[in-house]
Amino acid sequence: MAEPGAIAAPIAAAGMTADERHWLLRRLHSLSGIIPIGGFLFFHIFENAFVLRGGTVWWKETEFTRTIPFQIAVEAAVLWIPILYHAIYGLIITATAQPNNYPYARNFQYTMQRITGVIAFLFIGFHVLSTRAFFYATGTETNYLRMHSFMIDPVYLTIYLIGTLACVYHLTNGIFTFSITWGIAVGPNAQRLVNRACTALFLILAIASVAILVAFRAPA
Amino acid sequence: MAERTQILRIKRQQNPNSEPHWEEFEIPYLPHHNVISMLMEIRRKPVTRQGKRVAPVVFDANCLEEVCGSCTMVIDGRVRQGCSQLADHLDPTVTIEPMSKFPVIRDLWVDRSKMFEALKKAHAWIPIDGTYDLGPGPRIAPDVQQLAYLFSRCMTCGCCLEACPQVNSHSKFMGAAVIGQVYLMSQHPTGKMNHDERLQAMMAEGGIEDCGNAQNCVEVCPKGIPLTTAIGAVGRQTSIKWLRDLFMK
Amino acid sequence: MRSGARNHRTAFAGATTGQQLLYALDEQVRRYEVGGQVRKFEGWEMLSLVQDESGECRGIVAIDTRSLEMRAFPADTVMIATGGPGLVFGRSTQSLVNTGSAASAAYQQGATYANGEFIQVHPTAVPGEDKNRLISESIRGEGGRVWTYRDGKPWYFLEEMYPAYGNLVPRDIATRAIHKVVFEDKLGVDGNPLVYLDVSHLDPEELNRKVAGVLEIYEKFAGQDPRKVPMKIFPAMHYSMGGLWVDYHQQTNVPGLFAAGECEFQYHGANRLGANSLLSCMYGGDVASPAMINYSKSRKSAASSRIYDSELTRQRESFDKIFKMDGSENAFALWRELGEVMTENVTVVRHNDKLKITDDRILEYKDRWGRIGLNDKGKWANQEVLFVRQLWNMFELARPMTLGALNRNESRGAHYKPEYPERDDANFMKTTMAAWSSDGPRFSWDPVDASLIKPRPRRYDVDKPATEARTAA
Repeated sequence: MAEPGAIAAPIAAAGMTADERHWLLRRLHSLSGIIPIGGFLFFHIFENAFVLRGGTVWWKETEFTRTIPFQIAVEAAVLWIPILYHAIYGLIITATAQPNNYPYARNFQYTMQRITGVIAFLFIGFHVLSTRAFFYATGTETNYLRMHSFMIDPVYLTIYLIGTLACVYHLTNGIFTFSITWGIAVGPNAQRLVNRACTALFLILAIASVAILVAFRAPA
Repeated sequence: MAERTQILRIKRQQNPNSEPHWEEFEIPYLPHHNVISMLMEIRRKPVTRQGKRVAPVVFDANCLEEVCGSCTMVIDGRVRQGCSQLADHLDPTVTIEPMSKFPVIRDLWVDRSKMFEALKKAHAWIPIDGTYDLGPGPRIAPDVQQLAYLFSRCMTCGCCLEACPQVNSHSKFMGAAVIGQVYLMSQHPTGKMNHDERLQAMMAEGGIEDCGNAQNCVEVCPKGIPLTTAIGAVGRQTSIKWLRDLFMK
Repeated sequence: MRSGARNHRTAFAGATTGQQLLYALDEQVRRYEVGGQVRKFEGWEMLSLVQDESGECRGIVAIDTRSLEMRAFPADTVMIATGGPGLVFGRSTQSLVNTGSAASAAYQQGATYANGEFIQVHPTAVPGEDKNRLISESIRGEGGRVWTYRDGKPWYFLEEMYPAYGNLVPRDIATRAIHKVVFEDKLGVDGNPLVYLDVSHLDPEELNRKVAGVLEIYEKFAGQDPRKVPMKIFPAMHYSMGGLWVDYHQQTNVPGLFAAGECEFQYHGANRLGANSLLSCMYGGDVASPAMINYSKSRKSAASSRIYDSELTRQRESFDKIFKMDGSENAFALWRELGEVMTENVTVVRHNDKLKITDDRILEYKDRWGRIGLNDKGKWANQEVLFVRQLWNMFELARPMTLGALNRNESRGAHYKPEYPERDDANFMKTTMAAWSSDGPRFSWDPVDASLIKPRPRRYDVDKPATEARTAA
């Protein structure tokens, strides 16, 4: 498997062995999924939850996200670069997988993590193109009306439902695997506990996301 | 009433480069049979259900007590040792295949040497043996002994590799067994001295970072070795090593 | 605690001591392998010794069990450490590699085979279709009782026959008692050669704490929980005290050929005590290595390459013959017959008439061996062709075992002959030495040096006198 040369080169220049480079790239992938990407997803669900109190409240409460100084630079550093790295390296990792049907829950979660990863990659691409990239290209903000028009379209709604649920699954299961990878949850009991907590978190976030998406269907 | 029989559908392959094919054998049912003793029965009368005389099925087996790991095969879709798969627990037709994650030598006999190569790569030994008396070994606390004992029973059979979705022809992942051994060696006071080089090997491609946390390894391990605990612990050890190297070097 | 020993003399590693030793060895060899000091040829099987004109061992010829490529390995000295000959008895507690083939090959090339008749039988094994699996004596130590039905009621025959020791009698005594109950009294479980070993009356928690590993073996391989139902067991061939004759430096009578472990005869006399096999491996290995180095240094000239070529040719020709075998016999079926006859007549109880019959049968098998029909003519990973050769070597080894027993008209250790129930030190305190010839083994007897410790009767009903014990120590 080839390492993405563009990322590997500067690290190699820092005097790192190939072994450590492999470790670091993998760990960066693991870490970037939580910080900042996972963190942003939490925030993104949180900020959009204001829509449950109506479109006007939502627009007002999310105002500060549209007035960040050096917006493009911040977005690139906090979002686009980590997401691109996580996505591309994640696809490379996924390419080494050969899922099987051994009938264990964790094995199912493993397969789901890869499927939801690919879905999340496609969905985020679609979502970003149709909102942020659209804004940078046309100057049009994605306001309530625009979101509303998406959500009342069954095709858009289905895409968003599948996409957000995939993102939420990928994140919450990712928190679980993160805890193993970094050696936070080591023993079987600890891992079981974290897995349960992550499942609960998935349910909470899934309900919230669906509620948010549905809330956008309400007329302005 | 017709005598009860057992049908064995066996995936056969002449040599590493030939195409596999299936053959069916039917043998009298015996309650004390296991898969190996049934294959032995076929050796005594190598005739297929269709009445064709064929070469006896080639298989690897030695201790027949889950110590050597050599008779590991895929039985009804699940990887395990043939010697401990009792006939009593089988359907009237059983499907037997060689492990798919190892090169087939012939029929059910596979080449597990990559597991031993991984152990070499990971320096999976404790330097205690020598040409002179090194004196008494260090004392080990009973709870550490008990933990180490779990991992010391690994027979390098290959079940954890076979069931692992991350072990395959397009990945270099060495599998869980070697991680378990690295963890075992790190429990030993003398083994600890070389722990850094073992971790170094674990950090390389094919090492611990290629684990996908599917955790099939711990489910299929015939010895019930807590492999996922080793993966978590070695993961933590590499985290610490990296941080230490970052700030101390 | 092992039977026959009243003091703790073995350090155990859970229920898998032997396994741990095996893995530790593997681990240490790996270290030397990576260090470039050891080269392994895994999957290669020794076929024969290469000897020079004076009979000295100059290497071996071996075959790659995958490619069937044959190769001569020149060597300064050769060490055989191939373990026991369990497969001569068909099903034993030993592994499938324990064919005794290497020791037999050496024997057929001039190495003396000593004390072949001393075969240890373990009283408690789970009979299987593929092998017999050992149930450790610790089960009896923890309170396991041996019984069978008599007149519809459980009969604890060991407790009745040996009230003092009960179920804790030594291996051979327990074995003979089970044998008698099954074959003379015809009281085996359901008419089969089986008796019960019962721990179901004991506290399961205590059992789990002390002997979980042993019980798991039964559970796994017999499919029943011994905490709930009694285990069905029967004695099984376990260990060969006899083997290649070696001197104090582990060298056989073939100069340059050494042997250590179960394949040699030296340390166990007529019966092996528990864990002494480990002792013999460790001590034998320790003694042999400097002796081998010294021997290598004393070698004056290199062997001519001719001797390797000619041995290689001899082996190739013998395989060519096997490949052409086109008769009606099946090698694996023939092996089973050998195993059954050997187990019946050359293990627990030996009768001279049956031993004679056994030797006749072995000769008959050798004859039938020539009529084997090879099912597998493949030239790659052909296990059958390798087995046909191993089988011949088993026949060759079975003869000194059987005839050695026939010649020994006494009872000693594991060798029990009802016609001669007493130990006869005057005539038989001797090592049986078998030399191979084309007409069968030629026997001679070597007196055992007992000048330091005077032999005394083997008694388990009384403690040994203190003074005598001190002298012995």
